[in-house]
Amino acid sequence: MIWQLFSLFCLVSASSARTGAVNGFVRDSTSGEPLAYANVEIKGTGQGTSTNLRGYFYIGEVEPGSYQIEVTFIGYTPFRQKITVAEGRLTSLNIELKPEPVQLGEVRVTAERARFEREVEISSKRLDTRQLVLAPKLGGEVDIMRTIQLLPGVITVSDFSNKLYIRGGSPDQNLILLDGITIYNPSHLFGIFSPFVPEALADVTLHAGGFPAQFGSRLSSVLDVTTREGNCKKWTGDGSVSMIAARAIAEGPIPKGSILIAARRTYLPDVLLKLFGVPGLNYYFYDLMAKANSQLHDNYRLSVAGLGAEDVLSFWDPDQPDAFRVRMNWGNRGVSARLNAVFNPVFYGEMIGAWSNFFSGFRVRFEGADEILLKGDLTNWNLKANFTWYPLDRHTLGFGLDLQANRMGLRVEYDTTRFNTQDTLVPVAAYLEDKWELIPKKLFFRPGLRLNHYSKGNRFEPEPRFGMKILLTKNTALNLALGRFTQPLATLNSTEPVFSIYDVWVPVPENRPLPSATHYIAGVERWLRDDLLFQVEAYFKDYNHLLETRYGDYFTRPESLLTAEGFSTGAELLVRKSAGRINGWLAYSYMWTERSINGETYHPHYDRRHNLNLILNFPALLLGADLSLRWTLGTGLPYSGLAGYYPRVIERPGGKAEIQWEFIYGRRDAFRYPVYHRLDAGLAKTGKLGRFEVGISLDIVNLYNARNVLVYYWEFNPAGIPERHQINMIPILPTLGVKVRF
Amino acid sequence: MRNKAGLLFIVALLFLAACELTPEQPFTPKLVVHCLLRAGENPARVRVNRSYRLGEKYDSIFPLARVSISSGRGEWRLTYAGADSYISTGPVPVQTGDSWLLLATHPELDTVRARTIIPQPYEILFPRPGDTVSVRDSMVWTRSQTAKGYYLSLRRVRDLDTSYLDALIPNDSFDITYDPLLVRIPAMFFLLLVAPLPDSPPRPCTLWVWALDTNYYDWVLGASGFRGKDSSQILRGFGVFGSAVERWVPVFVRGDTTTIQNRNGRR
Repeated sequence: MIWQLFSLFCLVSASSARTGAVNGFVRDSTSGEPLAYANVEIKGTGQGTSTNLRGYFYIGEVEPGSYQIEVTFIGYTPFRQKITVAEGRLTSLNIELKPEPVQLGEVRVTAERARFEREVEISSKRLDTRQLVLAPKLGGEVDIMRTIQLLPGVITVSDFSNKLYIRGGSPDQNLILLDGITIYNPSHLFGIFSPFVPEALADVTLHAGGFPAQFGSRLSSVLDVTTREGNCKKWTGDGSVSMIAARAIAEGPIPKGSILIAARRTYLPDVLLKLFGVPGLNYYFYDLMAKANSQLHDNYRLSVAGLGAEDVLSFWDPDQPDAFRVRMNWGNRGVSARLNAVFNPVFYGEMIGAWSNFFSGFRVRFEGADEILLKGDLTNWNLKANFTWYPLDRHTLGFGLDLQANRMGLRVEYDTTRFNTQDTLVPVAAYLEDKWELIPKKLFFRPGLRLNHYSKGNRFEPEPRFGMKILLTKNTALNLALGRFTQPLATLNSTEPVFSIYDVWVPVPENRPLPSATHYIAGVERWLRDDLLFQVEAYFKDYNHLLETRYGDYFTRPESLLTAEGFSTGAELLVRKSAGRINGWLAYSYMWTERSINGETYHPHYDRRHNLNLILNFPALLLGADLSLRWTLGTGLPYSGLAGYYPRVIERPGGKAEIQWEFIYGRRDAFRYPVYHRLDAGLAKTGKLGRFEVGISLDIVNLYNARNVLVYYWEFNPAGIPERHQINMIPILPTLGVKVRF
Repeated sequence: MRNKAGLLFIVALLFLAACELTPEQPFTPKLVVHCLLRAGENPARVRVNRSYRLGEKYDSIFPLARVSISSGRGEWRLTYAGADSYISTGPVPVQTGDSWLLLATHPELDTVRARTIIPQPYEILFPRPGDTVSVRDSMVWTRSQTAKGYYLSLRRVRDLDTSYLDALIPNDSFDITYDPLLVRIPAMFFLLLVAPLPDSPPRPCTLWVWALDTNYYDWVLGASGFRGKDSSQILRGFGVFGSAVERWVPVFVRGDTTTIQNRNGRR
C-alpha cells in the first residue's frame, strides 16, 4: 500500500507541470550491452541528459510537440529519430547504436563531454575498455591498476606494486568495488597484477576525492569497476597468450539475457622456477570472472556476477614428496546479484546483494606430525539499495541504504595449540543526495548527507557532502566539492616493504577515535575542442586520528597502532585528447603529504612531490599498427634510511657470543630516492585470418633501460665500512602477445 | 600559443619550486652496552662500545668507559679487560628476583643507565641427564613465573665442528593445554638436525635453556628481525642489560625410524 502511494506520488509529481517525458535505454546494436553515459538530446529544446551506468535515461518536463531525439556516443553512428511528446504522457524508447570504426581525425562528442555538461562529478575519472586495453602492458598483460596510476593524483611506489596511493592517501583508504563486490586485496604475484581481466570490463570509474554520498567507509577514493554484460545477440570468444598468462573470454546469449565468462591463468613463474632450477617450488595465479543477465520484465533486469582469484605458492622436496610440504594460498572470491528496476519512469532503482571473501592459508606438513595451519579470512556481506528519483525537472534525487557485515577471522592450529579469533564489524548507512540544476545549464548543486553507524564502539558518524558546478561558458566550468569521510577499518601491515602479499584488516579498536578526513576540492574544466579537455584541480585533505603502523615493524598489533594527524594537498593538471591521429593525455600532479605522530612530523613513503605521465596513442601509424607510448617522470619518494650502526652482541645458551651489525635508522621516511622515470612502448596490429580476428602485440617496458631504484641495502666492505648498494626496478623488458577473436 | 607557453611555464615552475634534497641527518654517537647477568656466582662482564656514523670504521678497542653494576647487595666496579670488555674482579652474587642497575659513562658520550630483574628459577623435568631421547619425545620444565620467555639452544659437537639450533619460546601461550606451572614442548623436532641414522649408536648432545627477562628476550627476538629497529633496551644509548637463569641437560639422541624411512623415499 505504501509502495503504491509512493508510486502514485512520483507520477503525480512528474506530470504536475502539464508536460510530457521521454525515457528509455541505450544499448549496443551488436552485443546488446548497455551504453553508459551516452549523450541524449532533444533537439531544439536544449533539454538532454546522459545515460546512467545501466544505459537508462529520463528527460522530464518536455513541452508537448514533435521533436528529433539525438543519441551520440563515441565509436557509434549517431542515432536520430522523430518523436512526439504528448501532455501527461511518457514516450519510451529502446535505442540501439551501431558501432562504427572511429575515423581518424574525426571529432565526436565523447561520453566525458556529455557528462561535463550535465553531471556534478568532481575528481571523477572514467576509463572505458578501449582506454584500458590501449595502455602499454607489463609482460604482455594489461592491468587496470597500472592504467589508473597514469591518472593525475595517483601514484604507485614501485614497478612491483599495484597499490594505489591517491592524493596522499594510503592504499587501505581506497574502496574497490567490482559489480558491488568489495575487494580488499586486489593483487597477484606480490602486488604486480590485479585480479581483474581487463577485456571483461565495461567501465572503470575512479572517484579520487569528494566522492558522492552513495559511497562511504573509506577516506580517500572509490574505484568502481563494472563488468561487461556480455553479448546477447551471438556467441563470441576471445583468447590470448602473453609471456606471463593465457586468457580466454566467452560471451553469448541466454534466454532473455546474456552471459560472459572470463578466465586467466599464469604459467611464466612456474616455467621460470623450473628453468632456474628450483625444483619443488611452484607458483601460479588464476582469475575467473563471470556475469549473467536476464531481462525479467521490460522494466526489471537481474544480473549475477562472480569473481574467483587465487595465488598459490607451494614447496616440497621432489626427492621426498611426503616428508615436508608447504602450501600458501591467498585470493578473493565474491558473488553479487543486482536487480535494476524502472519502477516507474521517474523512479529508478537498483538493489544489490553481495558477498565477498578474502582468504589466506599457510599449511606446513611434516611426515608423521600434525599439520601446521594458519588461516585468515575477511568476509563481507553487503545489501545495498540505490534509488534515483526525478521529482522535478531540475532535481535528481539519489537515496539509499547500505547494510554491511564484515567478519575478520584468524585460525592457528599447531599440535595442541588451537587459536581461533574472530571480529565483526557491522556498518549501516543511509544517504540522500540531490543534483539540483539551479540555473539550467549554468549552475548545479549536489548537496548530500550520509549517515553511518558502526557497530564497533557504537559510533554514529554523519558525513555531509557537497558539490557544485558553475558553467562559466559553454566550454568552461568551475567545480567545487567538500565532504567528510570516515573509515571503520584499518590495516596492520606496513606498506613500506617492497613486496607485500596482502593486507591484514581489522576494525578500528573501540577505544580509539575513528579515522576521518575532510576533503576540500576546487577545479576548472575547459573543453578546448570537443575532443580536447583541459582540467586543473586543487585539493586539501585534512586527516584526523589515522591509525599508522609502528616505525620499522612489518605488522603492528591493533592495540599498538599509532595515532597520526596530517594532511595532503596538491594540484593536478590533465590535458586529454580523446580522438584523432594522436590521442592520449598528459597528467601532472603536485602533491604534498604530511603526517605527525606524537609531535614528530614526517612525509610518508608515498609523498611524491611531482609526478608527470604522458600517454600518446598513434592509431594505425604504420601498416595499420597502433603505437602507444607512456612516459612517467616522478621525483624521489621518501624512505627510511640509515644514519649509523653499532655492534650487536647476542649470547647463546651453551655457546659463544655472536656479533651482528645493527643499523641505526634515521627519522621515519627522512631520506629520498632519486628521480624515477620510465618509457614504455607498445605496438599492436590486428588483422583477419579466415573467420578469426588475430592480433599481435609487442610491448617494451622501460625502453631506455632507466635504472630506477627499488631499494637500497647496506653491506660491509672488506675495510669494515658499510657501503650502500641498490636493487633496481624493472629493466628493459620486451614481450610478445597474440590474441585471437572469433 | 600564448596559452601553451603559459602552461609550460607553470609546469616548469612547479617542478623547480620544490627540489627535494635529503636533509642532512643529525647523528650523535651513543654508548653501546651489552650485559647478560646469569643467576649464580659468576664474574660479571659488560661489553662497551659506541655507535658509528655510516662511513666510519668500527673500532673494537674501547678503553675509556667507566662501568658499574649494583643491586641491594652492593656495587661492583668493572675494570677494563682489553678490546671492549669490562669485567668484575671477582664473582658477583646474582640471585633470582634481584633488581640490578647498570651505569656506564664515557668522557665524550652520554651516560647510560639500565635495569634488569633476574627471572624466577625453574627446573628441567624431562629429559633427565643421561636419558636417550628421540624427536618424538617431549621436553618439560617447570615454568619460571617472571621470565618473558625461554631461549632454547641445542649444541652438537662433531669432530672439530660445533653446531647450534636456537629457539625462542614465549612464556605465555595460546596453547589450549597451557599449564601455569609447566612448559611442555610436545615433540623435539629440533633434534632432527642432530639425530643419527636408526642403526647408529645414539649421539651425545646438550640441551640448554635460559629463562630470560623481558630485556634480553626482546633483544634476541629483535635480532631475528621481528621487532627490528626498536629492540634496544637502553635509554640514551644502545644495547641491552638483561638477565637469565640457565639450565642444561646432557642427553643422547637416537635415530627415528619413521624419519629415516621417509628420507629413503619408502613407506
